[in-house]
Amino acid sequence: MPVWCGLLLLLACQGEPTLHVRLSENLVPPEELQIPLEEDGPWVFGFDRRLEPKEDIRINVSLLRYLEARTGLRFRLHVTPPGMSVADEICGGRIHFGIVGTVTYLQAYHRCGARIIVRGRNPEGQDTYRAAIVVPVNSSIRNLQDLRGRSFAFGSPNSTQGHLIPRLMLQQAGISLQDLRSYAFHDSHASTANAVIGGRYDAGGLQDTLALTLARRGLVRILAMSDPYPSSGIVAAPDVPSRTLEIVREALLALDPAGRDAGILYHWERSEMPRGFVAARDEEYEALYRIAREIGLLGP
Amino acid sequence: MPRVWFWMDRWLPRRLTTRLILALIVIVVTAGLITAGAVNWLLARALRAELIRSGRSLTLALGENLANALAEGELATVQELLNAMVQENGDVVYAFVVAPHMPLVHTFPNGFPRDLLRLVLPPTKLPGDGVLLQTELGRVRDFAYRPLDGIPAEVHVGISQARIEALQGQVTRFIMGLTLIGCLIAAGIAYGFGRVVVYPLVELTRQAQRLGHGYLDERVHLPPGGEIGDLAHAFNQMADEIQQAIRQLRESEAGYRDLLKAASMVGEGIALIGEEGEEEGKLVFVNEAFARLLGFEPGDLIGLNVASVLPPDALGEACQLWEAVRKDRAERPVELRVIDRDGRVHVLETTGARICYQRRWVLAWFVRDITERKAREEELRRRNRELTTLNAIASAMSEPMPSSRMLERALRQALNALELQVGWIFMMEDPGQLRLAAYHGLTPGEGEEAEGLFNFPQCRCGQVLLDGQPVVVGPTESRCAVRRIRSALGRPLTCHAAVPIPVRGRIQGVLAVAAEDPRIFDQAEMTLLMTIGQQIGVAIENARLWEELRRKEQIRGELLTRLMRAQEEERLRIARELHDGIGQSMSALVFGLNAISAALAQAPEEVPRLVDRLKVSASDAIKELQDIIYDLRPTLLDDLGLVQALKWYARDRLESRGIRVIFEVPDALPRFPSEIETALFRIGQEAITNICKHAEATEVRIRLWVEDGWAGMEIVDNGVGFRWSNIQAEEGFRRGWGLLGMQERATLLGGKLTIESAPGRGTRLCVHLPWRAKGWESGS
Repeated sequence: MPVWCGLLLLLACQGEPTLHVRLSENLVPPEELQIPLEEDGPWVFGFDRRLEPKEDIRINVSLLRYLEARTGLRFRLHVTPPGMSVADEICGGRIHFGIVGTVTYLQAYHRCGARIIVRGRNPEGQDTYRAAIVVPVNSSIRNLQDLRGRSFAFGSPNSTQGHLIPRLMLQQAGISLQDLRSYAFHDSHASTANAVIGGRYDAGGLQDTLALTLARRGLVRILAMSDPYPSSGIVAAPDVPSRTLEIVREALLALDPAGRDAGILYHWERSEMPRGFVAARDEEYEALYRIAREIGLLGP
Repeated sequence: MPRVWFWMDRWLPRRLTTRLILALIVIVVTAGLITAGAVNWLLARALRAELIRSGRSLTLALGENLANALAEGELATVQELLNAMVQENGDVVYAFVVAPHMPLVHTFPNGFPRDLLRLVLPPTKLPGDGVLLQTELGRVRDFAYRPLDGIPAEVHVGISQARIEALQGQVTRFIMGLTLIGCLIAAGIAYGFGRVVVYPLVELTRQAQRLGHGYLDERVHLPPGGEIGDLAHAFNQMADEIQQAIRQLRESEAGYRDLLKAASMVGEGIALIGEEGEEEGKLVFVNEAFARLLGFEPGDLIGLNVASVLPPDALGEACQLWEAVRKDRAERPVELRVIDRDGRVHVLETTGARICYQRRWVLAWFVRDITERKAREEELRRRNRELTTLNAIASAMSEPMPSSRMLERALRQALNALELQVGWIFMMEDPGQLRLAAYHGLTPGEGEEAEGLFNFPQCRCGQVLLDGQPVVVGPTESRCAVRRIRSALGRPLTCHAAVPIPVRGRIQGVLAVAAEDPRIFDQAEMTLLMTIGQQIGVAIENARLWEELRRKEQIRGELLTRLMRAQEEERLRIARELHDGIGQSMSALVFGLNAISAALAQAPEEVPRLVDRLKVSASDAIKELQDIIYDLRPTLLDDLGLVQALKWYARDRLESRGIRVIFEVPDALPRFPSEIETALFRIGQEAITNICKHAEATEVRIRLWVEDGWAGMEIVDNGVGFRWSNIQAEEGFRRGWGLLGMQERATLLGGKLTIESAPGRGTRLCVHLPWRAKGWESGS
């Protein structure tokens, strides 16, 4: 009977190659477990984390595939280790391009003269964005002045809409961090919104689009809406040759995420530049640069 | 294919029931194996697909769970997730992760096997169905997944295939069990069914055995219809036909025995010759006719080798016949010679057949003694050959051709009839003078040389000329020309036969044929040669007669011409004489009459004188007229007969020239018919004229007689004579037409005329004419 079984099994498995391996022998010493893996692409892109790491990677890698197809250059995505900022790695020479928020750009600009080459266009096609300060629906706070002595939830410290612009709005209303009873930074706009909706904070700074959505659903009430500021974009390290920079810029400006290039991109609508890019200049971020420097986001 | 059936039939059990059981078992086992194989294949295929699907899902889920941790470099999280995966999934043998900038994380408790590093592949070569690994734990399928696009981080999960293989084994065992049960059931069914199916066959077999034991009247009783019923019906039909065939066979055997007996009675010999073993070539049966033919009793010949009755030179031909019989190629009878008990040779017309006799194969030899028939045929053939030869010779002889060619042709036919190549003919030209007239088988030079070698009549062949008897000359004859020819020309002629060639009863030549091998000329051949010799003689005589006839015809034609010319000349002479003589006399008479008429009126006195003169003229005219008439045919011949007419003419012509004439005439010589008297007178007249013109004779003897119905006349002179052959050879005027005319005249009356003459010896002319008056003799 085993013979028949073996024969039949042999017949069933016939044709598929088999690799002979030994699982209990020839073991690798622990010190040799660092396997050198090949990373392809001479031009390295970094990115600010916005979503889950794997999602950020997939979205940004799809942009790199687009750029490779468009420019003929080879790109590689670099995941910034925890505890380090993209601005540090741009200025440290480990990253040539960065898909970053305005704060990270301003930091790199401030530290090593990194240049912004394009900025994104939001779902409405605008190349600016705003921030909103929201309060719970039944909050007694009626204006920004009422925020004195209240708790405030910010987004990530490096978030333009969750921190930088709300700080600018508060500053313009004459309120500093010391005027607040307490404040805290959250890792995302969602966390900030949950903190406000849950009543753990009296107010919070959000990106305008999320604030409007939540307001339409009656979850929050928009206390104030900021002026439009240039949106975030892609910066280049100072040592990137101008020719390469121009090639990349032209490719980014030619991106058509909703049309021709939709197939190559991965959920690009979830990025901060769902409608593509427009050209950007460093001068357009002067106001934000000043407030960021004032509030100490740029360091010394 | 038939060899396969034969081989299977040889090795399979003999019983049909067992074969049916085996067949059903084979069918069930085959079906079980096919089913097991198909189910296993389908199951393995489905399980493999399921395993791949679940493995891919598991690996994908693990990769998704690990993606963020990998991106963050959280080793502990990765390790925990891997361990949880292995613990929660019993089929997962291992899991490991490799990623840039971090060490390999795995679930092997004792360390990571180096062989698995071969599974870390380039980014583009991740197999969707995993990689099948043969490990010490069994078959393991390794699935790989890269959760972070663009980042070379790989998650590997190894899933054991032991579970699906165990499931396959269970299914196989189950199916094989079913197959075994099916085999047992099939064997039972086949046994029962076989008993049912085989029962009629057993019955048929039993009945067939009974039929083989001779129970021809028994039949199989099975229900009709169906294959078995048809088979039983066919068996019964076969039994009927066998019974009928055996009956016919017995009748045929009886007839065959009668046929053998009848054949023996009419002389047809039959012998059976063993073909195999110790009996090969020996007579195992002979009938009485065969034994009688050889002078034995049948029992004496049994066991005798057939070669002992065959002459040595007939063995090869007999072997060919029997070989052809063995191969069934003997189509027509063959003639063979055998030797009987007394050593006499018999010619047999034989044929053969290969038959089974008393359970063994033998050659049946059918013989018929055709010795006498062959002899008759040979005799007939010889006679035909002779007749053909004689016919050819007669045909050749009948054709007008020169005698030399005729002799050559006759010689060639004679040689053909005797199947010889060399022969010759000597002909006698003058008495004692032989000439080689024709030869065959010798070159012209050899012929001329051979002619000189013959020395007749001292030669042995010359005896033929002397006694007219045929001679056969052997090689030892010292006087033989053939011996000398052989020594002179180197031709290997050993003997020859010579026969006379008679012409008009006289031996005029020798026909001889020679053989190059020692040969006995038998009586028939000598008779044929004698006949040919006689034919040649007749042909020569015929040729001579033919030549004579031709010559006579020519002479007759010329005579007729001359006769007509002579007739015209005679008429011219008569006309001239009538004109010059009678005519003038008649004119003178007319003038005389006119003168008398005138004188009667004017001078009557002159009339008597004129009448006298006229009488004289008339008498002269009558005299001239009588001369003319006498010249044409003397009236003495009509008035006084032949004797007086001849006497008158001879004395008138010969004695006037001083030639003495002597008549020898019987006293009572009768008058002959006018045509005979005229012919004898004219022949005598021509002879006397010739004597007057040419003979210069002084005496002529004329004799007449009657003898045996013949009237004869002989005229002999003592003149200068002549050579008759020279006269005959002459042409034109000098040929002697007078003599020829005499001959012709005698021939026309059925008589003959002979002339004997020689220069200086006078001439004798003798003529015989047939006269039918019987009973009269010259002496009477």
